[in-house]
Amino acid sequence: MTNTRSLTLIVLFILVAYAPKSAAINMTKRIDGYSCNKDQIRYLTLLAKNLKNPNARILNFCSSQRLKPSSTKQNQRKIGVILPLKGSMNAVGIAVKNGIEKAINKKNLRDTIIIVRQDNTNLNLLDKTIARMVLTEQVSVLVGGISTKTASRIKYWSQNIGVPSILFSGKVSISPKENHVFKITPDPKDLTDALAKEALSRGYKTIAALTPNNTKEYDLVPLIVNSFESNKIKLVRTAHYNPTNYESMELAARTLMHLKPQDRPQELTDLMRKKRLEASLAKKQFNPHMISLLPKIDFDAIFISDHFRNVKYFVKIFKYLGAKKTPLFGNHQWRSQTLLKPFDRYLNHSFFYDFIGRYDQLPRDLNAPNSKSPYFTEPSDAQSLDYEIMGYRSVEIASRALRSYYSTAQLWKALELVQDKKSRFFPHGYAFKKNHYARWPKHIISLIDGRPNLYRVK
Amino acid sequence: MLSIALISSSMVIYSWLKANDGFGISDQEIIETFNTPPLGNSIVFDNKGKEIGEYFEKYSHHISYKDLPKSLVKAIIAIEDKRFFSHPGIDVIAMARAGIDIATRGRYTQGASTITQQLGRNLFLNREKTLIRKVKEIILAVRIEQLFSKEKILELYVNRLFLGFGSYGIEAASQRLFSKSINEIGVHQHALLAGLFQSPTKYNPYRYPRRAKSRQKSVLSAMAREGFISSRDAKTLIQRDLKYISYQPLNYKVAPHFIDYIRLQANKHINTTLKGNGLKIYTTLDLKLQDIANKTFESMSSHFTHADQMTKSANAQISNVSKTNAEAALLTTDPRTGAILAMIGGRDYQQSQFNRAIHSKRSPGSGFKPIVYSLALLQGRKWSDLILVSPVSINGYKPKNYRRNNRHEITMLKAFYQSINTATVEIGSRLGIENVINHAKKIGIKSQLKNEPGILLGSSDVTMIDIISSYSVFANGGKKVFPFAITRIEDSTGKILYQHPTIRKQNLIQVIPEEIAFLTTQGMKAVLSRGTGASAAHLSTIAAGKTGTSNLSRDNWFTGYTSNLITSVWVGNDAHLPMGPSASGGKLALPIWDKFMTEAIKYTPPKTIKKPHRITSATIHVNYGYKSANGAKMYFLRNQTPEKISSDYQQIEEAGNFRPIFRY
Repeated sequence: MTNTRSLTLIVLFILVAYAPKSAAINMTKRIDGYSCNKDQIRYLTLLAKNLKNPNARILNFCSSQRLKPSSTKQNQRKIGVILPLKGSMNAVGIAVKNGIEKAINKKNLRDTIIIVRQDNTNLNLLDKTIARMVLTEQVSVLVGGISTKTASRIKYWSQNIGVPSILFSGKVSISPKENHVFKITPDPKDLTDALAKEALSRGYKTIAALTPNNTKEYDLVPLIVNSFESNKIKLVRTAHYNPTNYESMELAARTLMHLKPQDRPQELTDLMRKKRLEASLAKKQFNPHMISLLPKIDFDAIFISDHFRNVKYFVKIFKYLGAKKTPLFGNHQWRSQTLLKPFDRYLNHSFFYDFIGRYDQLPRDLNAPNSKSPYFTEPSDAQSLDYEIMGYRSVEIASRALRSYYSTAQLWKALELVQDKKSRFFPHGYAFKKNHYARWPKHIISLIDGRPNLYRVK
Repeated sequence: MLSIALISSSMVIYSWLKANDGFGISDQEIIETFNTPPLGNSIVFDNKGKEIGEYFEKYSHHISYKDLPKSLVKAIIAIEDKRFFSHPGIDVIAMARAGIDIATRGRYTQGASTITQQLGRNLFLNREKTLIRKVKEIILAVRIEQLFSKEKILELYVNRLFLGFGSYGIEAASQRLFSKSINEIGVHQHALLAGLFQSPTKYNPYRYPRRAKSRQKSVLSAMAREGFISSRDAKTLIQRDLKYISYQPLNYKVAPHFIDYIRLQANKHINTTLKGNGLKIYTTLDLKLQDIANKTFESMSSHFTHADQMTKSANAQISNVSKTNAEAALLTTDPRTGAILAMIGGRDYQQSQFNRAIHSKRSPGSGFKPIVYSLALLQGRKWSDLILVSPVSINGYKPKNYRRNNRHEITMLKAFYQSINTATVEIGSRLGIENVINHAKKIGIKSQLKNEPGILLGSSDVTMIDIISSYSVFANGGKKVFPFAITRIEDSTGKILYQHPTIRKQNLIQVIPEEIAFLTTQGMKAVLSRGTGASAAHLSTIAAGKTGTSNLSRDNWFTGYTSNLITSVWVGNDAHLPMGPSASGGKLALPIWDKFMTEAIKYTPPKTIKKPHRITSATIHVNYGYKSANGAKMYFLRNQTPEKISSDYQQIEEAGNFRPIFRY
């Protein structure tokens, strides 16, 4: 049976290889139904347009679709990695690559071949890279897509030609039909769910949110609303701000606390009048700039979707505005020793979410080199560690899927079924959630008397 | 006949009076009056013993007979009493001629009073024109002549008589008219002085120069008549021009405000009146430094004009020009001892005697910050500590920064040398305002400080002495010195009435540790090398200092020091008017300080301020406070050197994000 099939393939290969290009469609029709469907062939044809002998390569690709990825020498556990190793995002690309190398150095992954290519925002060049990887180098899984643009392109080809991809972009979405596409980044909904549960446990009923407007982080707002409302917590007010502009930040804080001049005009007029009279009676100079209304806080806590630096500035702004201590909570970007040193009591009992727990309990072969505390590492390390872990995790999952007994065409199912049972870092169970987002641990870190108090959320 | 009768009757009365102890004036009293020279002016000396000022009731300078120029003696004799050396106190011939004059014309044309009579009248009698007084005058003259030599009588005559413009005696008059001693002037000038004895007011050369000249002619003619000079010489001398020097009292010449200050200080140390008591007051003033200070002020007239214009522009509604005139003051001391070396209390002493270096209480503005930061260093903070710059509110007090640049991080050192107000208020409020006030008092501020947040930015008025005292602690290794100006006061006999204690370093009170003083100094050096005082950066290797600008630039300061000189300069105006948005300590006071110190250190070269053993240094990023080869040299207590080699804040600033996993 196998010999017959091989013979047929050889004949087909010779025919395709020596056939004129105009006959490609006819030729592909001949393999249609054999291993690739019509749509697949159409997209493969588009993808292969710049390659030499495209039909032969498509035929070769399709012929291997029903084989186990490791059954032929050429297809031996090949993972194609597309990363920005040059340019403005090279730091992220290098961090991912470091993570991948660390994963491969593990004993049981050394037989996996990793092919790393430069990412490119020029989509034609990116297409060429993908075509070369898939049709020439015959990789079984594509890993990459750090920027939204490249992730979307990889996702496009991945889904349409049927090669699974694991993406790094935090913003690109996956629809339920896109079964070949996976995301290694944490699901932001995990973040909002974890925070909502913590907020609920603390008895918060209403919250306000401060979100920066230049990073589109406020995409989190619908998720926050969703997660909090499902826990019967209401988001009463949201204010966006430019995170690099102090005045914008102060205005956002004023918005939350009803301190904009138009918010309470009568109250402000009355206060001015009263203070002017007091100054006059005390024979003191009246300075209207020193007069301000007290903040009106009609919520239980404030969610700040920003990094620790701006959190510290917001604390200063709240104090400047005369706001009483209000619980604050936020995301993984809060995590820095700097948030605690020096510790501002205003932050006492504030909390934030992170998908990384203790830095001394990272996945094997990874470590935080300059960490002096299990809870914090140097910010430069924290930046790269996130992507290093993701790179490590992506290849680890892909490699494990490639070793399972599935055909190439069904590799996405193998990816869905990769599980962890003994990891001290990753949650036990499937590596990917049903929505194809990677499952990450969920931690809440609470700041109590200047010390972090970390616990894992189920 | 009348004169003979007068003399005869006087002789009779004399015999009776002598037997009955005169007319209330005994011989003993006459002898005492003659032998007791007036105590004279109290003299103020600089630190090298040169006269710089004097206090007097009657301006006088005693000169002995032997030092009198012969031509002067001749001039006086010729015009006042040509038979002085031959008569017995009274000139019978002159009196007879006067008697004839009265009898024939009803008045006399020539004076009959001898020098001895004039002296007696001036010392013991009044000027009433009665026969009794005249008789007394004659008798007194005879008695004086019996008791004293002619030379002694003439010596007293030339020293005791009022000669106009506040001066008593010939030497004082010479000083005031010609700004020279009588031994330094010519015969024609001697003649003018000799002419004054008859009526100093009538012949006042300033008011009535023609009359004075005419009188001088009379004297010279009399000298020729008496054969003291030839007629030809007299004519030549008459033709010589008489140039009067506009009188400038010694007190005004060098350091008028300092001389005023000495008067106040001396009165605190001794109970004796200074005026006319012949005291010798030795002071700390350094004439060379004072001269540099004076010249600095003189050379900066365009700078002051600019300051005047700034004030005028900022106060266009005020028409009174004198109100908008910029004023300035300078005070220099030796930080090792507290000795006041130079002082200028205002731009023009003639216009305003108010001593702004001593009596003016002004807001020091940021000049107060070294006190706050030194306490912060004392409490364990270090120059590399990070500060997040943003507005602050302390009990409703909302200070503003000179430049509106919020949301950035800087080290405490940079906050200091850039004089960031919000950072200082944050640091100060954490230290506690009460603690800051106590610290300020401890290191030398004597003025009352208000217990309010504004004090952290120097809102409480202080004197220049306060600022100098407190900065001296930093310059002097943490040891406190008190500014002083008088080293010794002696009476006319040389008896020491007051002596300032000798300053010995080991006896000084250590108010802050040497290390903290050193660290504060390093902060103030950075002000000069890269901060608000950078226009004087050329001095930053040897000097340290701090700018100060009060609210609306009403007061503009710079105070800085080397190892051996501390100088504070203030520029403002007496009406406390704002000086405009472009005015600041760095722009108005610092150029004066710079110019003065640049010259002063040539005269008194400073030494490098020694680094205490417990101090170490490291190169630190000035914004983010970590060890960086591209940073600035900062000093620390040995156990406080930062270990960080990167900054979380910088990471975000440069990357534009932090852990942006949902961003891309």
